[in-house]
Amino acid sequence: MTNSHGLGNQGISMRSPAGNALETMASPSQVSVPDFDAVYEAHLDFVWQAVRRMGVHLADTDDVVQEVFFIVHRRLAEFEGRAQLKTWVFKILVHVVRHYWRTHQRRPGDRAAGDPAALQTLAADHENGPAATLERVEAVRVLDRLLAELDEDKREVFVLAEIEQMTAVQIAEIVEANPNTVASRLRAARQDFEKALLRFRAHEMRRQP
Amino acid sequence: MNDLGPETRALLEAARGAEAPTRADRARIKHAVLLRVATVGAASAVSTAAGGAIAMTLATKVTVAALTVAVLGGGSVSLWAWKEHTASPPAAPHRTASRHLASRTLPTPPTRTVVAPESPAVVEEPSPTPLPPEAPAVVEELRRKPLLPEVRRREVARNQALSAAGVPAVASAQVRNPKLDPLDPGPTMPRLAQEDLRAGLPAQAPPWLAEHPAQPVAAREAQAVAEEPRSGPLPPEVQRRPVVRYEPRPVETAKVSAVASAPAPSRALNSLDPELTLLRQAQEDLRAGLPAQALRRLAEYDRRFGKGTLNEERRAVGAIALCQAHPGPAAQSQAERFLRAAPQSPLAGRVRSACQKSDESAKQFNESEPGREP
Repeated sequence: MTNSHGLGNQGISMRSPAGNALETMASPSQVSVPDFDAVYEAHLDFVWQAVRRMGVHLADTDDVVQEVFFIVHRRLAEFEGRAQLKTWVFKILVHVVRHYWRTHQRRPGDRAAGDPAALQTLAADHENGPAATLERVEAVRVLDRLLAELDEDKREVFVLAEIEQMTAVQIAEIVEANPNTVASRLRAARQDFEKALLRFRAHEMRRQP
Repeated sequence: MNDLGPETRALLEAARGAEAPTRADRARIKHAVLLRVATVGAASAVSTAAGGAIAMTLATKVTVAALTVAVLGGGSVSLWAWKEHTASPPAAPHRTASRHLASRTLPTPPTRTVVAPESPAVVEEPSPTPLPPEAPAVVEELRRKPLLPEVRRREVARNQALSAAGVPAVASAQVRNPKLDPLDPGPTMPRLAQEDLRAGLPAQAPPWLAEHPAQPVAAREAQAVAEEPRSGPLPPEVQRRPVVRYEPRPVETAKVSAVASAPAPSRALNSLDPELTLLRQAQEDLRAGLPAQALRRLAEYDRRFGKGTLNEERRAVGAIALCQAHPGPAAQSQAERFLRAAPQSPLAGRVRSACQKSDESAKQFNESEPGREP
């Protein structure tokens, strides 16, 4: 069942303005407010991961994620269902992260990837065996390092498309750009990423004896 | 090259979903968000109800702050304090109040409504925001949570009342603990609030928000818009307002009742008003050299409010009154107990000074009458 907010398959309950009855869906004519708890539970993982992949330091992740959901909470009543809820949340996320970057990008070392604390957290959180964990840790480390080489606009589009697997139309809405612009930006981001990966591998080979 | 290579795809696949927040992260962030929501709602309701207009809000804030300082500090309100207040935009209580829950610090700083500049539409103009219907429920939920122990709840309730009345708040001992791990904000405290406290800053937006003043406010439109308190050009009516130096003088009761009877601050302010009034009267008694009368008023305070919201201030005034009325070991002991319990209190210096003076004068008096017991 899909509601007007595109929430049907996410199991997000909707609350009437009176805040009493919980509904599993809402028709376009109904003015219903998504329940914050449900929105939070459904989107926290995505938001957290996107914030991390967009280069926010682990030490600042809490604050940025908190900021996103604080705004979500305040604006939830204004959500009119014209877009998917996830798109709407990510739109807020992108604004918050952009603002974060404006103050952080020029600090030396801020864009260095492979936050050791993050990797420790990652390693501690996974119980799939040490080998699998190390593999993921390494993947995240490499990914962050390569993402750090992309321009911010390309990085946004790349993360949303390749990690969050959003469509160009959704991304266009989130970053407030023309879908064609998004497509060309994504194409360029992919090229840059591939080049960065090649450079990284070459560098790794040179370091090996 | 429109597609990704196999190695890139494998890398993305391995990394996808690899890093998720832990259960503790989930609880902590949600708790912090709800705490902010609750306090912002309460603060905006108070300021809005105060009249909604800038002048009314500022008048309320300044009057109550002046009243409180006059009552408790017994001193002057300096020019900078006035400026801090006048510099606050109408929406100031938003962020400020949320931080006040976590911190009782210095006078309310200017706060800001930050906007994501890329957004064509921006943050809402500071507008009267009624108390969100969910705010009481959120506060209740926070109180029920085991993450918020009794001490913390008392602190939160006290700070709510104080911040609603425009009184600067001070961090609790728990918050002030310098040993707190900066990366571990604890169950109830946003980490940045702790940093603000350590830096001696009052309620501030996160540093990465604070470093860039927001763009001028534009139309409201988009659904997704970053919203934060911000500093910006003052409204013309505030800029035109003459800067007035506040001289210590008896606060007019009419002002107090005007503030208390304003439709807005209603709950928090009205509930605080009787306590403030008694403490103000006790302070006036002290100024008039009637410490015994002040002690009687404090006894009445104890009868009516017990350990009220302003208990810390009551203890400070009590210590000063006792030092004036009966200087000696008992008064010293009470002052020391207060200073031990609340070393960071804004009134600590005053207690220390008053009791030191009284101790010296008692010694001189005893020395002049050798037969008299101290």
